[in-house]
Amino acid sequence: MTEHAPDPLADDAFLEALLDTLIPPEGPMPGAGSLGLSEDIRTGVVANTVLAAPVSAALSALRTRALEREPGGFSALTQDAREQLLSSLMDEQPALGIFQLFVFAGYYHNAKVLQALGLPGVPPFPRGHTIEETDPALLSKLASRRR
Amino acid sequence: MLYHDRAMANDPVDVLIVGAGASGAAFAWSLAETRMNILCLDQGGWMKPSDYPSNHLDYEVRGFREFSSDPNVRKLPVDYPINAAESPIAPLMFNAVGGSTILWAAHFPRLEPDDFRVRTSDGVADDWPIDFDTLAPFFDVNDRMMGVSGLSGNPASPPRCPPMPPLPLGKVGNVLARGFEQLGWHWWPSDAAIASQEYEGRAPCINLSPCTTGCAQGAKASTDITYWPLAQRRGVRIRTGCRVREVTLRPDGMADGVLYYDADGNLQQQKAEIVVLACNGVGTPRLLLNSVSSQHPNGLSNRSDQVGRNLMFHPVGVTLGIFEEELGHHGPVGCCLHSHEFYDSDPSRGFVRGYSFEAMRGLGPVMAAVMGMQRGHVGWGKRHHERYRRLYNHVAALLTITEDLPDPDNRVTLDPDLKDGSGIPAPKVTYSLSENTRKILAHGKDRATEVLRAAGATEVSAQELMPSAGWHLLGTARMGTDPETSVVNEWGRSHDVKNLFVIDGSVFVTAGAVNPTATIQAVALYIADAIKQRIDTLFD
Repeated sequence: MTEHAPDPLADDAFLEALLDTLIPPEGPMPGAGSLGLSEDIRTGVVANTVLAAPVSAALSALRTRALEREPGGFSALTQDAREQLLSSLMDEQPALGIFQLFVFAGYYHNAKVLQALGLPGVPPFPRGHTIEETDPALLSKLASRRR
Repeated sequence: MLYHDRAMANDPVDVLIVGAGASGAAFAWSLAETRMNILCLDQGGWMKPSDYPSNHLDYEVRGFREFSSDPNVRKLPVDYPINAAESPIAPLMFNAVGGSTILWAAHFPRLEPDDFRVRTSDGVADDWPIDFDTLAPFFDVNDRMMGVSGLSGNPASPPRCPPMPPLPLGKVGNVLARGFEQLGWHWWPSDAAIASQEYEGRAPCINLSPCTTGCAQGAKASTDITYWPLAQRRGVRIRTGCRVREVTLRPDGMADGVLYYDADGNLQQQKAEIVVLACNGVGTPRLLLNSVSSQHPNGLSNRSDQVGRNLMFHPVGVTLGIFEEELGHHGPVGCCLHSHEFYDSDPSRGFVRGYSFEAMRGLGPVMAAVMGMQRGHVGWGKRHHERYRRLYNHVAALLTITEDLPDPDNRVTLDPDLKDGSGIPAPKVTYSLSENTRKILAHGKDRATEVLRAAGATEVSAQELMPSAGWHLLGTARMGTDPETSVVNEWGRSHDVKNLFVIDGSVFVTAGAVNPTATIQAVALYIADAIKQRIDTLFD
């Protein structure tokens, strides 16, 4: 799919560039555009009967504005230019903020991202987690107050 | 199977319970010792621990979808919609065997003795027709049945001996406790219906974190794994996928059962000698209001016009502290420590009654991003990672749980247009915050800020009212001795229909400022006991 596909949610090049603009790579943290999240995000947006239309309209507006600036579209813009363009549209297209939530949710349950955060990158069950015991000094204070 | 055949045949039963959640389960277990023929109908089904989100990497995201506490978000076939457009707080619940205990945080405080005499103490609302001491033995039974971890000796509450030692505070709790210590304010490890060690066949907590999307470990008490297996062993039957439309009456005005839609959508009739409603503070008034007849044109048990009124939520404020040190985010979410420093009335504060603080663990990876974005802590673009790192694993939160006083205009009615999947009119919730509650929330926010700063937070932000916090649904069929101002009597029997009982949070007269489930279940056990004590004169 190209950045000229009719539906912005079906436009992988556009989506990946947008995802990398929202969450760019930095150090061990991968960019959101490099994780293959587009399909999940597309599915999530489309499944939401309330939000699908406004999000799609907002993405269309962004893509159209990008094409006005650069014939190669959003993905051909520099990171700075993408950020500038996105910022200029955020107030006008509040559904871009909703799209951002979809991206954040998709990004932060990806195994590579979780591993980069120092987490095991597996479901919580059955391993579970260890947490710190109660500070014995605090328990001593409580013991003196027990009724 | 005989049971199956009997159940499907809709043969009359002695006792019919509608709702298999916190109260229905406790009540069924207790009454089962009478060997009466007891049947429970629930619109949901049995949950499978392997379906819970913590079996999956996207466990947090599932909590926003099919495991959301909000039925209007979840929209599962077993759910009914709620028109909450006229409420700043969304009513929350879960429909399954176990009810909302499937998704609750399992924080297990009890109402305090003074919560039962608010009118006497503060000249507002009403006193309950029963007191703390009446419920005390049932609180204790319930602690054993649910399996409670906690530390005895809390100076702010009556004596209590949880059967298991407390859950560890974790880093978050240790840090926040030091804040309370520095200010000299009351705090205590929370009582939690979560096994801190092996208990009655339940495995101990392994800190999966998302308690509020179901416990795959089975360490958290939900009534599908606590009361129900024991009640079933005593002969109680549960029929799932049954959506009750109305309570039906005999010509003499006594209840004779219910009409319900089965899992295939067929209308069925179940006859019973005693009908017991345990559908929560929204579902119970909805069912009563849907039970219209020539004898009860305004809904069943509504001669007083009190059904659906006095809805109380416990409005919640959340104050978030960001710390330099790493605090982590694992561990039972809402079960770390609590404070009753500001629980009791103090005229100098400018409001009556008070609030409790509950500490929350930090935010998981997705929640840190989403909540961080909503609060302006986390943005997008080149600075995203820097700002996210500042928040993730560096957050502690305090919830301000306020006492919500009853107001007859805060109510559950029937929506004229909205219906569930079976065509049954859906509830509409109309609710507004009182000035007293606003003052409590503001006070709580300021004091929470002090604690978080004292504990070392470098940045604090507050949301004075959480919109998605209507976990506690109380007061809409309240108990009392006066039939003109209450729906049920002091042991849960309808003033108007003498074989109809209400046993859920609807019967609360006032709400206290703590999570209500321990009290809801103690009340249900108390009503079951009252029925057993009066079995020969029950309908007099």
